[in-house]
Amino acid sequence: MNIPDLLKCLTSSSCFITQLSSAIVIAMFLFLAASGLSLIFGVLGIGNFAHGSFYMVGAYLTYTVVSKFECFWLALILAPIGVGLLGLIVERLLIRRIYGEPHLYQFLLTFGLLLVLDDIVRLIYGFTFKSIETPKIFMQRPLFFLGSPIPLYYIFVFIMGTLVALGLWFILSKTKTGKTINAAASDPEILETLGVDVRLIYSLVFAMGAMLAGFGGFLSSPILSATPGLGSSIIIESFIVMVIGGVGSVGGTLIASILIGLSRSFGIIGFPDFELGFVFFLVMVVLIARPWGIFGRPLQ
Amino acid sequence: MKKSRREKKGKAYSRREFLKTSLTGAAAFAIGSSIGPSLVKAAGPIKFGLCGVTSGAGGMSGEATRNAFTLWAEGLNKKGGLLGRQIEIIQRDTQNKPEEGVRFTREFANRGDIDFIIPHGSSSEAFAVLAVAPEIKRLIGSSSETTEYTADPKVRSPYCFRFARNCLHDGLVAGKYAAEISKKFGLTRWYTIAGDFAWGRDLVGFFIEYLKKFNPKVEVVGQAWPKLFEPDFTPQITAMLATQPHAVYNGLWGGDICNFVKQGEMYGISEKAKFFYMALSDYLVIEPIVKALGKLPAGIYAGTRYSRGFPDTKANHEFHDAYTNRFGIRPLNWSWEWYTAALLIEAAVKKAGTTENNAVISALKDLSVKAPTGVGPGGTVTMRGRDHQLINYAVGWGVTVPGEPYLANIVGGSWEEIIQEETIWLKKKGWL
Repeated sequence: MNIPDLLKCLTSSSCFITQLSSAIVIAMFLFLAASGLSLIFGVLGIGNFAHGSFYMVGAYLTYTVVSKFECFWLALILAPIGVGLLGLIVERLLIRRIYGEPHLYQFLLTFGLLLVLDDIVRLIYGFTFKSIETPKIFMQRPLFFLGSPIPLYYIFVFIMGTLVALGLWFILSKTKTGKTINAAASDPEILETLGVDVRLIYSLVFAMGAMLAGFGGFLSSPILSATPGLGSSIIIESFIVMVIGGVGSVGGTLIASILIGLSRSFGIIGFPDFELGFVFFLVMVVLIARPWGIFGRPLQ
Repeated sequence: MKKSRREKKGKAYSRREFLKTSLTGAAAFAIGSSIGPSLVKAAGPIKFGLCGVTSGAGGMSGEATRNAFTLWAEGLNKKGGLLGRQIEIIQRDTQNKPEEGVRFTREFANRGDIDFIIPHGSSSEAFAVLAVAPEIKRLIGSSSETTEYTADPKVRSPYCFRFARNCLHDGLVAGKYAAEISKKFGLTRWYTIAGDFAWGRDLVGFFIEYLKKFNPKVEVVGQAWPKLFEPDFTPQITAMLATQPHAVYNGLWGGDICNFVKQGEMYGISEKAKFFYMALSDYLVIEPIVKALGKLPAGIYAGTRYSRGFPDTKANHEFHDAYTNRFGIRPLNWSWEWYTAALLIEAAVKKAGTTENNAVISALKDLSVKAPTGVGPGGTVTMRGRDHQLINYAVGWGVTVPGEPYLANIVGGSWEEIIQEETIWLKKKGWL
């Protein structure tokens, strides 16, 4: 443990701001990956283990678009849409068959899908790490705030993550579509009797969740290499965020992402050997004290 | 005379005849069982059973292993094979799970038609298989770099051979090189970052030991141990910058290096400290970094994992070019290791005149062969008989340049010095 180093950092404005900005960046990536998972679980009741693979496919689609068209901004549109379409197909052909089934069936199907998608990208792209060039607009000197460097790209990630969070909140709480989605999550049978095509809602929600993951994959491409198995490293953290934040809660997902970002960013200074364990400790505390998460509702 | 029941049934069958028939049949069965399959085996191909990770994030190691054996086998098969038999490669995916490594090793041993078993997975798989080697009693090859695999007499097995570099050799060469640079530029504050698994911990441990041995003025101001395949190194990067190190030893591997470099350059890390990367020069890593940043940042110190230019010999160039032309990708560290393993096994089989594993094991001890990355006499590597560790392979450090060959001014480790220091260390541990 390095508590003196941690205290020194907390009392130094440059160190504090640097670690805080690092925490927010981690949080934004986590939020984008986990929000879709939480949405799918909250509305459809499906714990989608293949969700990380959507993130991975988003990264690979970004690589493909940028390699072919040399335009990062085109990938901003095409990659999430591509993953959304994939999500739609997966929901129609596979997920639809396991609604209401025991969780074990969901786990087996979605885990199998994760392995299949991993192998498909491996067959198409091979094992070598696929990288894209960071857009030149972001390769300038970092912005300095109170002596702390903040890379320009991370400011972009923060803005995008915030827009997504606000957009999700707005859609789910202020629009008719959002209210319909919430109703489908609460009582799909009643909704059906009112003439709403609940299956279509489910398809849209799954596609939306996939799109969010795909967008996360796009956004991470300038700083990560796409590789088979990328999804596996994201999915565990996404589930952690969902458990801590609460299923189906956008606000909870955001808060949980920030909490994990802070624990990793400052934990790496105070507890370098235990930084990851600390996150799991947080999960244990939440599961014991409030199993439905900080902002979730008890599952029925 | 009263007829026996057998006679009444028309079976005039005496006890003598019965015994004669039975004994003849038993003898025929026994001879047939031993000769038949052996005759079939002798005429059939020599099979290499490879088992290791071939999927997911670590899958490139399995691919490189298969490619290395395939390149060797195809070349040998064109010339008539080994002992007149063609070489056949079979591979299984362990998904990086030690229990799967053990399962496939046992399966290969029990099948009866696999001549050589090559568990090429991670160190965790290697040690799991090592534990069952005495039960299986077959030659086991490994590319685990964790020192104890062959160095600890309580751990190593008479059946297991390390056809690869090890962390002690790498850490020693790296530590000495870094110590010289640190003296030259006054780099006294060091930070280390490596994956939190056996290889990472072993490597950094030896690096620091030898860095301090060759330059006692250095101090380690911080360490980071991210998990293997960590996608986001931002917290480690910012924590590292906060300690204001003069130099950083980076023991990350593969895609982790690509991600670290990409994320680090967002903070301009290469301007803030001197970096020493153990595995940056691997072609697996260089090409994605060049794609991401437009060029390889120059002036970074990097260890040689595999490089076409080191050793700068015709044999190495030919190996690199043949591999690249055949598979469309450049050789990696596992590529040269397993190609070398194949050459050693080939030589041992020829020496023993058989594929029988015990004979090949005996033949392998202290055997030297010419190999693409051999720096011993006549370009050879040697399988040391004492502990079944490969020696006299190319190991060195250089400085990155933006284009080919990406690494220049390479300083190779002296094997005389490596063995000397290794001996001191082993004696200190009571292992020699």
